[in-house]
Amino acid sequence: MALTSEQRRKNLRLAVALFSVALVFALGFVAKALLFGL
Amino acid sequence: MSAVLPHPVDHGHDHEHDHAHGHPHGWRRWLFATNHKDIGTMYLLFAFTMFLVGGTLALLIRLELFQPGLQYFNPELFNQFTTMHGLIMVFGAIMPAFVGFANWMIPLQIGAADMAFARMNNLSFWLLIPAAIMLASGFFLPGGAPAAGWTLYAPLTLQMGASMDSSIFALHIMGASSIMGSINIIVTILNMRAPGMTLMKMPMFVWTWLITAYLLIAVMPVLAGAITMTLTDRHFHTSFFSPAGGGDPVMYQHVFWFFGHPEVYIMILPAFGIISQVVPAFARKRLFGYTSMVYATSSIAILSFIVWAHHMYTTGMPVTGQLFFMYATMLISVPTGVKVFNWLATMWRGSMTFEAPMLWAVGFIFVFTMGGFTGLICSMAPIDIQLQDTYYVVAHFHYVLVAGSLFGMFSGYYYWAPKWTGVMYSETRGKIHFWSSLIFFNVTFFPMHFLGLAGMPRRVADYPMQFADFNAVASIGGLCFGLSQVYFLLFVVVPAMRGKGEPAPQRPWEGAEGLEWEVPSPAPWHTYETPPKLDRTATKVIG
Repeated sequence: MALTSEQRRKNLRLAVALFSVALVFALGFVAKALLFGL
Repeated sequence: MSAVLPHPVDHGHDHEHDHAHGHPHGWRRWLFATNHKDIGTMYLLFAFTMFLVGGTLALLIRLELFQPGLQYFNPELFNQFTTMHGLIMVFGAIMPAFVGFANWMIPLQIGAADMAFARMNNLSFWLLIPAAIMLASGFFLPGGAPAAGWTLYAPLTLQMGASMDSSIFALHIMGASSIMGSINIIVTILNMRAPGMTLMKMPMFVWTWLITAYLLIAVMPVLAGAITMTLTDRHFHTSFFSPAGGGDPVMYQHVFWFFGHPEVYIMILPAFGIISQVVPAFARKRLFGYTSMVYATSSIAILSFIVWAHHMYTTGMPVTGQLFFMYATMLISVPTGVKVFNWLATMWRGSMTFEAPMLWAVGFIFVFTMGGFTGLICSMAPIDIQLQDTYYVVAHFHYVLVAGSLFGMFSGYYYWAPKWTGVMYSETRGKIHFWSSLIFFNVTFFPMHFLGLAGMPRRVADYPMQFADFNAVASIGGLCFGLSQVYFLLFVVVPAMRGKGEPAPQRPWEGAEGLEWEVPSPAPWHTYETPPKLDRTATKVIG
């Protein structure tokens, strides 16, 4: 059974939240080192 | 966050029926794969291939160390072998293998039709191939493969040839693959469970992977950041880790181990999950202390973030820092002990039989616990300062990663392969594989404790005569352990892939519980297309 659009939206929302966490960890860490030193 | 799929209106649909419509064939089936079982199979085959490549490097290492003196390889090439062995085993073999298990089993165990993002799942897998090629190609680049150790410590990494760049790029790609895989797993578990499959009714394998996926999302970006900074130090005139420009190489170690220690648990928690499935099945009892298992796994994951500097006692840390990381590390033995005692309590007065999956599980508990104890010994700063970078540490982490992760995977393979392939493996062959692996694993790695205690450093191609005997024993053990895995490939895996063997029943293990045993063997291409209706324990389909 294909996922309903509601389920797709829920999945996507959670995925974007998780991806943003990963992005903040990677870029935030480098940006902090760059701007304020290690 | 804990939403589950709603009941469909129509329960009359036979979810076990294999719908073959649109079923791609030939190379398209694999290249464009979006089916979780196909992708799981590809992950497992890829991981096993990399395991053989990494294993070959290990045997070359043991070949050189068979006798004192330089026999076959110069020290530089030897260092390339140790580095590539570590990188390939960690990023190419163990991690993808567990993702393969996750792909195969998580949708089946929670009653989902597939992973949440099937196309991203395809991308996660296929990214691994160019990454692996790029990693392995280092041997053919000027200057040879990276030789800075799998930890890629600065400033060594700043002095390596072009292969360091290709390896860093390969790790970036593998990291992206892992993060995508983790997002997929978390979304699948949290959003796509069958109705009635509450979080606290999930199988332990699913629980351990949920926690592992969170760990991956938290630490893989940190590794990506650290190696990006190494890259900019190499090519863009920054000095994050280069002491020549005012950078701090010790800071690299802190950042690396902030990734590296949780990574250890990323490589062992799914094995804990597999053992927590296998032991109850062959003890014919429910898992003892399910709730405490879940909390223990979570505790291990949380604690793994505050122990990283126990890898760095010799870098000149203040005593208060040493004490903090020492006690925090010792604390991890509490939830780990909870898990070990729960497995023992599950076996206690159980109606146990010892088919291959159970043999591997019991072997895991016994040998992994030995690795855990040496870990406890290494956690103590005064002792670790003596043991740092000796073969004692090599023995310790191979007891955890080989006897832990690998034995756990073998247990899972023998347990679930009948469901994957539709045929039973030969019990005799499974037992030969187990006993030869267990014996030769110990022949290989147990003497390394003595070598380390006697002061033999790791990552050396030559050593004084006093270490000769134990090294010869370890090399013979390593060769035999490697041959045991070739036996597994030729006499267990290949026949299973060819469909040779007794047809597997739907539930081949009398005591096994869970939704994966509610579908035929081999599992049809499509399963649980409509969410199944579950019984009170969420282990049986009732409609």
